[in-house]
Amino acid sequence: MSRTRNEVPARFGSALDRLDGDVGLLREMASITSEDLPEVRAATQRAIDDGDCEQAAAGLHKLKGMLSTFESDGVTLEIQEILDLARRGKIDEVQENYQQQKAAIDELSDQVSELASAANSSN
Amino acid sequence: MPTILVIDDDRAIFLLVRQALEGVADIVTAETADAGIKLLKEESIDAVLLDIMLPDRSGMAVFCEIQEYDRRLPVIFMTIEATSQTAIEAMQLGAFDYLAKPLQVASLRTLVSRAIEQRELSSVPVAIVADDTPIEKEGELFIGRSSPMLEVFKDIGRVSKQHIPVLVRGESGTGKELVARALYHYSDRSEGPFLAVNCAALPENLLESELFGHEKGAFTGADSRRIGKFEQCNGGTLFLDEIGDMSSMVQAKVLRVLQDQRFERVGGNNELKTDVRIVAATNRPLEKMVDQGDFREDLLYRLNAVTISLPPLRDRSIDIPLLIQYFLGQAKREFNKQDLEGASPETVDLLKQYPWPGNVRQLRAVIRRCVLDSVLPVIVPSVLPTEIHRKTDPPRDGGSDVKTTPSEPQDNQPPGRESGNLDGRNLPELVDRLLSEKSTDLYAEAIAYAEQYLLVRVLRATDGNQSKAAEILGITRGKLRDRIATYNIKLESGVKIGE
Repeated sequence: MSRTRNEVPARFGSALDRLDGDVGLLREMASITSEDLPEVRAATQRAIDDGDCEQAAAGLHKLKGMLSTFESDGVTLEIQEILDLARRGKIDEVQENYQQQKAAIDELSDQVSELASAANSSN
Repeated sequence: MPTILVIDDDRAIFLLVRQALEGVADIVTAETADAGIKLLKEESIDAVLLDIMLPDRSGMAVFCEIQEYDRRLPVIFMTIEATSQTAIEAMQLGAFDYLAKPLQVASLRTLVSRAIEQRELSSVPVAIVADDTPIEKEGELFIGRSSPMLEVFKDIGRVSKQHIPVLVRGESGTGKELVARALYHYSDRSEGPFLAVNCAALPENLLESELFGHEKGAFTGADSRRIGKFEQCNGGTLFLDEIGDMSSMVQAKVLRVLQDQRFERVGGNNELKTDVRIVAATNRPLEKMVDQGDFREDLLYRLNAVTISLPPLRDRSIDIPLLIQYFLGQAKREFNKQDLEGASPETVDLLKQYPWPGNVRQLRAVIRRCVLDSVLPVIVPSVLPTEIHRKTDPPRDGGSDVKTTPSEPQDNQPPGRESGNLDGRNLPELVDRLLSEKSTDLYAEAIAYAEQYLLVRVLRATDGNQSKAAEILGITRGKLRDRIATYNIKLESGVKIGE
């Protein structure tokens, strides 16, 4: 089955460029990321809820790394801001900001999962 | 096929790397530092892609463990938090390179291919070891076993204790000042001062004042008495470099010092006596300059009672490996590159084949640049400047700093010089190109370009009248004539270069 750029949401255009336009690779990466994302997000949320800045920073760093494969601006930049706050030990601000960005992270995560589903259905 | 170890806690990165390097390398992966180090010891790895932040410890710490295990293994750091600080830290540690996430397939492939190539080239015993034992006191002049250099050493031994002037001749970069220092060092005057003056670096009136000093009020701006080099150097050795660039007036005064060790300060009436040994140097054809009336014959005969001729490096190529070893050791100590092992056989072969128009000085500059640029313990050909790879035969004009303009355009010709159409606006382009080619002669090339532009511009403004041009330029006619010949500037029917 031939895979074209049109099958991929516009927000992943830059990601596709970085992969030399390889839609199949982007989808396979989405498949791996969508498998691992729930655990990383859960661990990050737990650390934030527990007020553990060190663990929160580790989780946020990993989350940013995973999502930036698909979108390197937008919400990933916001995650970097929260990561900086966690490294400075400002847990209240981390909790507040993470809560504010949750919807955006959900949305991006969902779109990555949708990409993954397309990959799985075409395999 | 080479094998790349990827240590990262993001599994999607493994997929990306595997796909990007398909047909280039096999991939083995580890999600933790411990697993990565274990694989490193079990498998034959050719390069490592290492995430800076790992679950069990930092990538920087892992890098140090890798280095301890295999210092020649190229390690490429990857991180999502690409900042100048982490980049600088990684490169300071000795990383092969640094990649910002999200990764790009094309740049990843290029970089890993380069790392594999360097790994292959550096996986051989070094041909020349970077020895870090302390440098002998005498320094680089005495590195060499070739016949021409043995003659130089013998000459130094023969004349060092004689109180006679010595003329040192040789191309730019051959080490004329080092000979002067050696003559001083082995003379009975070694407790006295050694001073050096570059006669080409100062305009006539300043050179006169520099050499002989001046009295207060001798000229506008002479607010106080100044003691010149001949006075300061009493009991010692004065090295006059580029002696062929002195004006006739200064030549006359220097001749007088040589004849009876007497002189007057500029604007002064008192005759002063000094006891100075003169060692002069030039790479200009003084005999020809005498014929043309640009250099005093009596001064030439006074100066060249003893002449020491330094061979160009291309005429003593058997000394090149010894010099490479010496400069490697010197740079290793100076830049604190403790891991540096030496130069690979291919690198040494290329260095031996190059004609070295800038002589030992250029070789030294190239080695230092390589030591600075090399991230592996072995210097491989890819870190050599482009000019060494080109293996061209640059002009042997008695200096590295001058490229005579040929009638046909050449590859290494600065932009804008083609067909004699010198355009000064091309200087930035020339500098950019030389920088990208890792030139080790950038200063000389840029100055040569600017000098040609200046000469042609002024000669055009004076309709080719050299006297007027020399006056405007503030240089002697002899020097102008010399530069015109060097750059092959044609004066008939307009001023052109090399046509």
